Amino acid sequence: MAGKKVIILGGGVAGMQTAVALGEIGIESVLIEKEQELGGRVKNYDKIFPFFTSGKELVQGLESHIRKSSLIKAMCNTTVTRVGGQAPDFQVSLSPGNEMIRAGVIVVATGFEPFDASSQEEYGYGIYKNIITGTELERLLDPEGPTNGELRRPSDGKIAKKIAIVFCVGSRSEKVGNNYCSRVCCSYSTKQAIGIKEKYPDSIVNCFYIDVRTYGRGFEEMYRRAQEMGIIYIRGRVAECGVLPNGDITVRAEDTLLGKPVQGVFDLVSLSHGMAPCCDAAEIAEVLGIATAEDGFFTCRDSDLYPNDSTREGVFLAGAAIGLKPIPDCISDGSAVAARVAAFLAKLPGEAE
Amino acid sequence: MSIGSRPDWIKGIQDRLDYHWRYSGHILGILPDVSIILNEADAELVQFMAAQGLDGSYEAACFQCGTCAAICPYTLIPNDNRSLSARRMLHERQLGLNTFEDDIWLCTTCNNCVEQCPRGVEIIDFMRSLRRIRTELGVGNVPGSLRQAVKNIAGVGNPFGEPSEERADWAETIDVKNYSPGTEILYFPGCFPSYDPRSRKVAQATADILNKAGVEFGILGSREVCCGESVRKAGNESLFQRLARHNIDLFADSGVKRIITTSPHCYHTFKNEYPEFGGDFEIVHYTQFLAQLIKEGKLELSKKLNKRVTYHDPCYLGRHNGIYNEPREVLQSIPGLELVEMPQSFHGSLCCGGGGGGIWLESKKGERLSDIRLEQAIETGASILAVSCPYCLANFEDSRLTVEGGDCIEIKDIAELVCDAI
Repeated sequence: MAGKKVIILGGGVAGMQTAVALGEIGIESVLIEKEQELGGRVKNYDKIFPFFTSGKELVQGLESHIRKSSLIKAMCNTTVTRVGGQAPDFQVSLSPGNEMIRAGVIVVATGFEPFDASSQEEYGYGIYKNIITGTELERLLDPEGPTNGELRRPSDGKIAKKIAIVFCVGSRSEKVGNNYCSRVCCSYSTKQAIGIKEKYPDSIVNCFYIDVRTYGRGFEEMYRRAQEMGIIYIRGRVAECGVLPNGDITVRAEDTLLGKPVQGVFDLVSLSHGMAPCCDAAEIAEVLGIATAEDGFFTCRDSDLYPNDSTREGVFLAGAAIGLKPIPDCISDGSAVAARVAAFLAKLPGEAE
Repeated sequence: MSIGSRPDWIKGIQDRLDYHWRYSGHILGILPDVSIILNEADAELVQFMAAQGLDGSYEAACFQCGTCAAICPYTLIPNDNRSLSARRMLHERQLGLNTFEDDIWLCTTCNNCVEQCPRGVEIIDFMRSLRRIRTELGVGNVPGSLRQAVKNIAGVGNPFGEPSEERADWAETIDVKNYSPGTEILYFPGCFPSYDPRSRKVAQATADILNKAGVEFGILGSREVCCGESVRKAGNESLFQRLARHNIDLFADSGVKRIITTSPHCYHTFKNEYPEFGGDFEIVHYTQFLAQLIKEGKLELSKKLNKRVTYHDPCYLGRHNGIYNEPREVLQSIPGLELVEMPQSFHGSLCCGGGGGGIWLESKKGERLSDIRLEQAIETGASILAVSCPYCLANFEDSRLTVEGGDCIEIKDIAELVCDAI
């Protein structure tokens, strides 16, 4: 059976769903996660867009499938150090412990890294306390988070009532090295804005955007709902943020729809940072002998027909590792890659049991 | 609330008006500049608007696509200085800013933008709310001619400032009864057909037709007042409600059940706005009624009219109320008449400029929608432009005098054409 085992790198929702789907087909897999628990980014999301379901529950659901399945072995705190051999007989060395696993197929579902907002200096993240990232805002809005879901700003713990959300931080900018659109920020920001407005109906939420790209099913409807709740969308990329002595943040942009500069003073500013390739993508690419594209994400063999195949035979790709996508798409990707893997394994010459 | 009771506050708004967006700079050490300061809406204005039900429900859903601004009939009249853009005004209000530009008076409430809006924004109600802020708070400019018309309506119940006793004078030459309980139909000609010499002919023709068809009807004459359509669109909500209540009470006390109107504006207001105040009557536009009479064989049109005729859909009959076919059916039952369409017809009809109070505004030559429309009519080769709204009639008659080739085309109300064909 050694040739039929599948190694999945990355225990986020894409990797987890790959393991679950493979298990349902009857294929054995080992889920390798470098963090201490499964669930990737999604395990920290209280609500996910567009239907405000719980990210935590999604992860818990996948986890319980994985626990129940005898075909899935999850290994946390583990990384891959070396891959020898070739499909359908890879020898994968793991760290720590130098354990070696033989696998027929490898699936890469190593996800993404949130863009480091401090590298976009004009926004002052890391310098001004009341400028936070979207990921941090997510935690502040989480009833199980550090503030029990209260929107307390970092500098003085005051509840923030005037909030600016800045879209496209670390995305669509040659200057930061990311020309691409991160695809999810408009929607997660809108979801967060709704969350704020629901909890504090008298709060003021201004969203600064370049374009609103709420393209998925239910996304546009969510955007409309946000507008109807009184969340204000201002078309213009924030040019700079500043701080006032009381910790309030000033924001300067152009309202390109009016053709006039605008500025505002906010209690709290959230930077909707985009997604960058997973921090060890280059390393993983080298270990596995697969290619990454100009944007740093893994290259698909054929972006139209085989978006889940890497450039190397027997190595498949899933989730945000091959480009940014919202959670439901990552789940679909998990199922899709399972089908690709099953097809690949089925085509192998029969082995004597 | 009058200007006297809130001098400082009004002055504050006035200052902003004078300096446009310029910000004088007092917040937290930010240097004065020309930026729009976000989230600094005037608290009392916000309060007033909330109390009046103007609290953002109109503009919220707008996502700034600009369809409204592109479809606006005023795009046909190029003017770099014009600032009539519903899209922009909606956005300003989203930001808590208020538009004080005079061009808000240009909107003719033609409903084209509302019909096209992908987000279902009630742009006319929004425009109305902008005008209400001006009219009811006394902030900003209200065009003098509009102010005068509204003042006249408030005083004597008609925009011309004519005595209300003369409201039924148009009917002196014909046999028209005073409405009494039990009469089947109330004919409500409206202000223009009651007073305006050109428009009176339409009321007379209509009464003639009804008589010839043996329809039992009466008029209320001096007892009725303006329906209030343009008053409401001009932002004078309280006067509108007063007029509405007067007419509703009058109709109800007189035992009115069914009303025929000449003006699509009266039709629209009675049908769609009076129910808000308890006015529940069956409203019929005269073109609908005539179409019905013809269909039932009660009205026979025998005289030939060997002419090419084009028909202009009035905004308040067409887009506002979906009545496109009946006027055409009536025209086509006139023997010999050849009906041709202008390129912009039915839903795409080009406004004459008369709605939303526009009929009371002074407009310069070269900036009149009715001029463009008349040119379209002339281009069809028609010798008659048929209308079914007193505002359209008045505007086109005016345009005829200045547009080249205007003397080749006659403006006729459908009622006049029908009357001649009996």
